[in-house]
Amino acid sequence: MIRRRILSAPRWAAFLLVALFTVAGAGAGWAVEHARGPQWQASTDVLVRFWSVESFLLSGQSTPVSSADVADAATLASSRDVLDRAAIRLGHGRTGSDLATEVVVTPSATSNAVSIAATETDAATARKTSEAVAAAMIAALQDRITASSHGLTGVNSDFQTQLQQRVEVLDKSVHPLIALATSDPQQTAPTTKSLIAFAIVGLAAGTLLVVAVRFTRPTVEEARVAQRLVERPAVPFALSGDSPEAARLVRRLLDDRPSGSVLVVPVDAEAEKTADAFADWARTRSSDAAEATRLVSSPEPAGAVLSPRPGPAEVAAVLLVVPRGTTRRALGDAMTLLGSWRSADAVVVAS
Amino acid sequence: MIDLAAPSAATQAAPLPFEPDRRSAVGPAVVGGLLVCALAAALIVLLPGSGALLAVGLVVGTPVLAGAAFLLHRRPWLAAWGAVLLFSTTAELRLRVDPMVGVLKDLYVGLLVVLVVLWVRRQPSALRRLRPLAFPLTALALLVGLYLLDPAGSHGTSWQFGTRLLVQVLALLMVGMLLAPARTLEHLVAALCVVLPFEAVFAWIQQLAGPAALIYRWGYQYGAQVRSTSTGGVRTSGSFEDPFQLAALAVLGLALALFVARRRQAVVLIVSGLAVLGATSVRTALVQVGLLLVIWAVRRGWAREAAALAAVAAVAGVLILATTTSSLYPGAPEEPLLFSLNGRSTSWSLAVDGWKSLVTGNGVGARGTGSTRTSTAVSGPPRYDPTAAPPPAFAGNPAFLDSSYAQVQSDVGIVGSVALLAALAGTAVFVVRRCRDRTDGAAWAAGGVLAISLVDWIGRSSLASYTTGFLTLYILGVLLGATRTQERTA
Repeated sequence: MIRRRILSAPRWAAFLLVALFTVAGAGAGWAVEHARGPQWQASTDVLVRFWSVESFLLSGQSTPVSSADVADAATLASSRDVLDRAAIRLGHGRTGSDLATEVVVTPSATSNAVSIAATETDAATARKTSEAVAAAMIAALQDRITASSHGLTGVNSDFQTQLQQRVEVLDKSVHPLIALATSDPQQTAPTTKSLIAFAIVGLAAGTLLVVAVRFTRPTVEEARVAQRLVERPAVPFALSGDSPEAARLVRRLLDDRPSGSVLVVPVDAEAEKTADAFADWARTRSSDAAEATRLVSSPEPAGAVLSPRPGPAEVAAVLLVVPRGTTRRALGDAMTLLGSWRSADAVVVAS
Repeated sequence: MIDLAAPSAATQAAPLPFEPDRRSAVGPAVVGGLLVCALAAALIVLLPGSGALLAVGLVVGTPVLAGAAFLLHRRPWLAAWGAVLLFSTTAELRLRVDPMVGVLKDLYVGLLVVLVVLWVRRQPSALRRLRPLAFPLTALALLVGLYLLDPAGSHGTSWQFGTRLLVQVLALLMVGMLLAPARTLEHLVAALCVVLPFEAVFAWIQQLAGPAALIYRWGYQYGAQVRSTSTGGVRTSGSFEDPFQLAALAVLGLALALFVARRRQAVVLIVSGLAVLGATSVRTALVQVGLLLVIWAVRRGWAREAAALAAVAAVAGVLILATTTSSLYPGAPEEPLLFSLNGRSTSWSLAVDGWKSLVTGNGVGARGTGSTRTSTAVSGPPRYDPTAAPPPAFAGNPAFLDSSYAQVQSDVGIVGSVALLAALAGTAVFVVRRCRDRTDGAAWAAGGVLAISLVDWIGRSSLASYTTGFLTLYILGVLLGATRTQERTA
C-alpha cells in the first residue's frame, strides 16, 4: 500500500522531490563555499621552449617540443622536488606536501605551456606561491642540465668543451623554460559559482531519480494507458467527482446486456476497498433497485477464479477496477488470471 | 436508473490522412527567387571584392539547395544518401574546394531537423511510436540540459563547440528514428554499398602512393589524414579526416552487412569493409568486428559456441595485451599496452580532479568535448618524419580525454555520466527485447551498432564527434526506428 502511495503520488510530489534535491544541492554548494573560507587563485604560465636537453647535450641535435614533452614538464612542475624547492623559497615553515594540495599544474591543450595554479587564503600568497613553483621548476631543470653535464666523466677534453658550450647555450641563450606573466589573483571562494553548480547538479539528480522511478516501475496513471495495455475500454473514475465516463460505461453494460450480473473485480487484494467503493457508487447512482442488485462486488482475481464461479449466463460483464498507481505488471497479471475464466470487459481506473 | 450523460455529438468525417496539398508553389517560388536576386545584387554592391563570386554562389546554390530540400520533403528516405555522401566527403571537399564546405554538415543537420518537425506534424504516430524508448530519450534530454546549463564551466567558445556537437549527434539519432526509418534503412544500406567500396579503393590508392607523395603532393597532413602505426606502418583515411573515422564507417558497414543487407549487398560491404580495415590498421576496429561476429553467431543460434569462443578470445586478448608493449609514437619508450591503453589511461585521470570535479565536472569544453576547438590562421609547411610523432591534433594530446565516457564525466559530472549510462542501458534493454525475434534484422543490427559503439567510446572520443558520432548515431537511430516499424507492421 505504501509503495502504491509512493508510485501514485501526484505530479506535484515529483516536482517537490526535484525541488528538494535542487535546494539540497544549493545548500551543499553554499556549505562547500563557506567551509573552505576565503580562497584566491593565481596562475603562472611557463612556456616550454626546449625539452630534449639530454639529447642536445650528448648529440647537439634538437627536436621540436611535442605535447608529450609539455605533459612531462607538467609532471616535473608538480613533482615533490620542485614543490620542496618552492616551499623553501616561500619559507613560513611550509613543506612540499603542503603545497601539493594547493598547486595544480595543467598542460595547455593548444600551446607548449603549462599553467601553474596556486590556491591560497589571500591574493598575495597565491601570487607568490605560483611564481615560486614556476621559479623552482625552472631551477630544477637548470640543475638537471648541470648535473647531466657533470655526470659525464671520463670523456675527452674536446667533447667536454662541446658539452660546456652546449650547457652555456641552454643556460644563456635557449632558456628551455620561461616563466610568463602571472595572472591577477581571482577570488574562488566564497562565490555563488559552487552554489549554482551544485544546485544544477541537484536539479538534474532529482529529475533523473523521478524519471528512473517512473520508468523502472511503470504504473497505470491514466485510463488511456490501461486501455492501450489491455486493449479493452478503460475509463477514469474519481470517488469525489461525477465521473460521467464511468457512469456511461456502466449504463452501457447494463443496457446492452440485460441479463446477468456485472461483476466488479479489484485488480489485486489491495484494490478491494476501491472496487467496493466503485460498486457502491454505481449502485447509489441507480434509481432502480433491481438494476442496482445486478452490480456485484467480487474478490480479487485469484479469489474470483478459485471461488465457486457463476455460470456464463449469469455474468453479464466483468469490470476490472484498477486504482491509479497500480503497476502495469499487476494489471497484466490480473488480466491473464481472469482470462483463464472470463476476460474482463472493461477497466475502471480509480483515483 | 444510472445517470447517463448526454450522448456524444455525432462524429464528423475525419479528413484523409494523406490528403494532397493542392496549394500552388509558384507564388512562394517567385517571391523566394526575387529575394535571392535582391540579396545577390546587394552582395555585389556591398562587397566590391568578393561580392560577385558570392552572388553567383547564392544564385546558383539556392535553387539547388531548395530543390534538394523539396526532394527530401517529398521523399525523406533519401536523407540517408545525403548523410552518408556528405559526411564521408566533407574532409576531402574542405581540402580541395574550400574550408567553408564544413558548414554544409551543419546546414544539412538543420534541414533534417526541420524535415522531421514537418514529418511529425504530418504523421503524429511517428512520435507516439517512440514510447518504448521514452526512458533513454528522457535521460539523453537530461544530459543535453546539463550541457546547456554547464554547471561547472562558462558559456564560451569551447562550450558552444562541445554542446553543438552533442546536440547535433542526438538530433541525428532522433532524425533516424522518426524520418521514415524502414525505407530509409534500405537506402542507407544502398548508400553504404556505394560509398564504402569507393573508400576502400581510394584508401588503397593512397597506400600505393605512399606517405611522402600524400603529404608533399596530395596536400594531406601527417598526423591527420596520414598517420603511422607504432610499428611504422602507414594508415590512410580515404576521403575522411583521419583513418579512425574511415575504420568506424567500415565497422558500421559490416554491422549492416551481417544483419540487414541483402546477400549481394552484404558481399560488397564485407569485402570493402575488410579492405578499409586493412588500409587503416585500427586495432579497436578488429575488436569491434569480433564483437559483431559474436552477436551474429548468437542470432544464428550458436550462443553457447559464441560465448565459449568469446571467453577464450577475451582471455587470450588480455594475455596478449598484458605481454605486448607499445610505444605511443615512433621512437617513444615501450609500455605495456594493457595498462597504458596506448597512453589513454594517463589522460583519463584528468577527467576527475578531486571530489568537486567528480560531482559537477570540470565544465563543458575544459578537457572533454569541445576542448580541441582551435583555429589555425597560418599552417606550417608539409612535414613528414616517420621516426617522429606528428603533432597530435586530437587523439594523443595529453590534455585531451580520448574517451567519450571520460569526456562526459569531465564536462558535466557524475549526474551526466549516470544519465548517459542510463540512456545506453535503456536502449540496450529495448534492443535486447526486440532481439528475441531473430527475424528482426534491424534490431540485431541496432544491437551490433550499440555494442561496437559502447566499446569504441571507451577508448575514443567519438560520441560527439564529426564524422564518426554523426554517422553512428544516425545509423543507430534508423535501425531503432526500423525495429519499431517492423514491430508495428508485424
